[in-house]
Amino acid sequence: MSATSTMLPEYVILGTLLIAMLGIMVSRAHSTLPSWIGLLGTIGGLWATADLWSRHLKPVLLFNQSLSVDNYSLFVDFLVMIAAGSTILLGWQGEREHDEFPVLVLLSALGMMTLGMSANLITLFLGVEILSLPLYILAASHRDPLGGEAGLKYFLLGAFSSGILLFGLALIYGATGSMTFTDFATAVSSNSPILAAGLMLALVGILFKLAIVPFHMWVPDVYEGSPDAVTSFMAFGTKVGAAVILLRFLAYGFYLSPDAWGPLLGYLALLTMIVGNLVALTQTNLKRLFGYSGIGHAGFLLIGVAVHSVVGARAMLFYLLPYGLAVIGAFAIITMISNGEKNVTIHDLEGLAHKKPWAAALFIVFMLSFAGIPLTGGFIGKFYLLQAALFAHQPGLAVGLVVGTFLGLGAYLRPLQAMFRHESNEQALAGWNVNWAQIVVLVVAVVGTIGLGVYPTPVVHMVNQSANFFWLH
Amino acid sequence: MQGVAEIVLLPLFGAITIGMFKGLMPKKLPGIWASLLVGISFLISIAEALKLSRLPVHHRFLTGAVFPLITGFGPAIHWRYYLDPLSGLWLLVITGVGMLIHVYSIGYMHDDPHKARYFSYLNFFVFAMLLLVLAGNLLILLIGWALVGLASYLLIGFWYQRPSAVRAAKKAFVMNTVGDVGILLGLTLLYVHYHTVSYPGLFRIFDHQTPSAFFEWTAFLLYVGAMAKSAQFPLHMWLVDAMEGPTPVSALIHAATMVTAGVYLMARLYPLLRLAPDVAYLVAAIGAFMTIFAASSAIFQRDIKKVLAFSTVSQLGYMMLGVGVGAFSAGVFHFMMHAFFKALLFLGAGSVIHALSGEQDMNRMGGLWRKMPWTTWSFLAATLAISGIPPFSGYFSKEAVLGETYNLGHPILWVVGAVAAGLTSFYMFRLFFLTFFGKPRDASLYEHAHEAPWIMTVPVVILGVFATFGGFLKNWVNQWLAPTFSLYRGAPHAAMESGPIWTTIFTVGLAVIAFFIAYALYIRKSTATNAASESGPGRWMYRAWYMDTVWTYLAVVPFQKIGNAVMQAETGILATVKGIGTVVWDWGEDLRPLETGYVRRYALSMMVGVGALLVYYLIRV
Repeated sequence: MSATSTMLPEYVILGTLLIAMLGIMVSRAHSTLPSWIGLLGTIGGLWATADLWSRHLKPVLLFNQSLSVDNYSLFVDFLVMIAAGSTILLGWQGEREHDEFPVLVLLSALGMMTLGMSANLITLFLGVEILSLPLYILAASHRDPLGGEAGLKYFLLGAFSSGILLFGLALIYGATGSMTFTDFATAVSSNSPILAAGLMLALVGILFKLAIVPFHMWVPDVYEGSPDAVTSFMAFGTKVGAAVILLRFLAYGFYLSPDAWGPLLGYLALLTMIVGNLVALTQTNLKRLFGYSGIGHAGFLLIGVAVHSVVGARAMLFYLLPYGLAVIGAFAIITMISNGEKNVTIHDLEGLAHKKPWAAALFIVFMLSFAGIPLTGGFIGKFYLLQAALFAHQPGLAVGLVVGTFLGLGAYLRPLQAMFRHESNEQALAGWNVNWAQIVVLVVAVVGTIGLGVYPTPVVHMVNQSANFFWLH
Repeated sequence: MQGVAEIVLLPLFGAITIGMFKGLMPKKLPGIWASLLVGISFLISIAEALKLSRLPVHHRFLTGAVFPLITGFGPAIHWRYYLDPLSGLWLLVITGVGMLIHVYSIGYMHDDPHKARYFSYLNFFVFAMLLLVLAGNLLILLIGWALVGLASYLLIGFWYQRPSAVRAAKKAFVMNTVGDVGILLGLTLLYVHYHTVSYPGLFRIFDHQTPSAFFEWTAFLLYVGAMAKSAQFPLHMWLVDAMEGPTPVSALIHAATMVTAGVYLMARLYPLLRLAPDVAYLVAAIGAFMTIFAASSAIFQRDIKKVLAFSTVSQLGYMMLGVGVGAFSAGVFHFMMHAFFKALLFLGAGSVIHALSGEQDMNRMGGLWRKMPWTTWSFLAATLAISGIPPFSGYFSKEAVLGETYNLGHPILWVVGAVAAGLTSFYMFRLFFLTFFGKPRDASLYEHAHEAPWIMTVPVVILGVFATFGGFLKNWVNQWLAPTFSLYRGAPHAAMESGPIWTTIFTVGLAVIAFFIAYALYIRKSTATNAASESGPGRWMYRAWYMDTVWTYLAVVPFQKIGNAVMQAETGILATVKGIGTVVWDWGEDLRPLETGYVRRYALSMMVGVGALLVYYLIRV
């Protein structure tokens, strides 16, 4: 099978991106044409992914072993398509988002898809940069001071982390003489100090993108300053890209020496779960709250990597989906309240349950999924992670997961409390605005969240297949 | 297996629940809840002991990993428990006597505003001690060991408003930490050599070894730990001050828990003592010395609790003497009997102090037997027991220790122990007569004295029954402990045998004579409490041979000086570090591109993370 057909989803996105740019040129300002093109493109990408998936392909290595197309990368494509499509929908109102918005989103999505396929250092770095550069622009796309601050901060720290990542990759290459992940394990003895230093620096670079404590500081500020739709894309898409490349990088390249990174990631996961959820407790700005809770969730995800088992890989892959669905759902509600104008705080939610009961009910569903309450996808995901930690005989991680979950529960209950408050302030819900695009996102998110909680089997089946890569080093 | 974990975890559960929900609990609940949990622990302990007794003799232990403490994060450490007849005996005493002390505390701490905190600590103390005793390897033992130290610190300093209590707590903590370090070093040595710290693993190796300097050092380091916990010279000073805590705490520390941990450790390590005969002799010699030192120091004390504290030190000496000479069952048996009568003595003293609204000076007591009959007669039983008068419990255990000391060829140690037994009888009857008989020396206190409420007298009377008849358990204890001491080499004379009949007559005779002297002095002649305490020897004994002073000059003052020097050096280092920090900060200031920005801080956080990871890898590679 040719490279063209196995990489069809990526080519679809790339083509859509170019067509959307043409669309910007031919259409007038603030037209919805680029968004339409982008949306159709993501649907096309989804279709292409589903088509490839249904053919049960054998894993293919492309471009001199630098890309690996397999069920793993296809599952990542699914996730990225959902993230990109929902982001374009949430940023639909052409007047507020700039015309280039869908183009940049798709470009960033392309980076994430590259990360899903990446099997050597070059594509790893390329993926990270293609993912990041459009996001720097998107973060600053609102011309208020907060937006500029967010973009600049994200850019500076991102450049910093890219430097560290690149340095680490260079050291790995220097120590092993190879760019391909699968060569590392056999190239030199795994306790070479240069290789260890390289691994460490590369891990820092990736963990920065995943927002693991102590590389997480940028998250709340950037989330707060970015437009709502972009924030949801960062919270979902970036995490997908960073988590999947971390898993493949370690499982392919360093599977012979899990002791060199497993315990370390375990400690970081513990730290991240606790710190993220703990700080989330005190936030009043909803985007900052989701920023910190996203940090906590990154800690949960890291468990799946740290345990170094196929169960862990499955659990992590699974967890990405309910987490992402809850993120886009919650942000859909936030965009309804904020109307793109202001930063939504807990006080803006006051009285929501009485004035807009449906929106409130949906919001509750997403919060409960974040918190991991049964009958939501979040519960199943946390359950798998807990199982993975216990199977790996790491009760410390399991305890951390439970503690983090409880802290998170506290954090998510506060907005819910506010919703049920009777006396609401005058400004709350003043800018309430709903359009069809948000409703589409909400429906997808809520059906997905409840569906995963009640009948997770199909997705579990998919995840199991995509985690097969684990044995293919 | 499940049962063992629950024995340990129930008190911990109590400590946590009381600690967390003390604001919500009704006033009386913490005490009842804490006592109930320890009581359930006691019942499970009995069940486990029964289960143990049904195992074949050559395989009479239960072991297993309850919970892998740390796996994956470095070398695996398991919480491995080990229940054999020896730890089983401790288990029963800790939970049984501990429960009685809990119940007693409900009455004793009735008016204290912080009793929820008190019971939380008390439960935690029991938990720590159980963890120590049930540990299956030295590392878990050390964790329990350190937690016991922490719990004692909290309880001794329970009335933290009193400076003396805080000072005593600090002293106990420091001396215990010295012991912790000893154990840590000892277990490190063993681990480095044999790559295991579990009892069965080590003991099986020990069976094939011959005595050497390595074992002497290891055993000595572990003995330092035992020294600190069991108040052996020179780390004994804390125990006397430790009575600054509430009296039931003293009962718990002195009788059921804590101070007997050292005895437990030494008895547990009997295969190691075989390989370290010099240390074993040192244990015995220091034990014998402690018996006479503490007994002589007790004679002129005026504070009722101080007398009892010195008597504990003295009795611990007997236990260590038994363990040191190889009479393991005798030492353990004495621990068990001591737990009964010493708990009773402290609880009785607590009732007296309670009745006299906090008065501890025997100078202001006297004649209390009319007011407090239950306490008096129970107290008498315990006094007879500790004095070694037949047929009370202490007679059997002390005779077992002394008889075997003589049998195994340590006549000098025997003489010291026997004389100390006579002194014990004297100072204990002095205390008894001064407190309960004679004329009331303080009329107003006497007027208000009253018998303790039933919730305090019932535990006292139960303990009185055991203190009286406990000696008849001797044969049972002998049989019960035999499997433990026959499992590995090193305890050929563990079983209790009595010495020649004349040694018994000598010891008991001394005790009886001492009783009559005390009777003559304090009942017939009504000698004053502080008589002769101003004479030279009196003052010397009253000040416990001036050992505290010596300690202050030999250890505390030099350490203070070292500490001050280090402090100054540290100030210098700190200033340097601060300077470096300022420079880094200034760089950070230059990096700050935004008005509100903390980008420098974020970058710094990342660099700290990178540095930490780098250090982690450097350590590993």
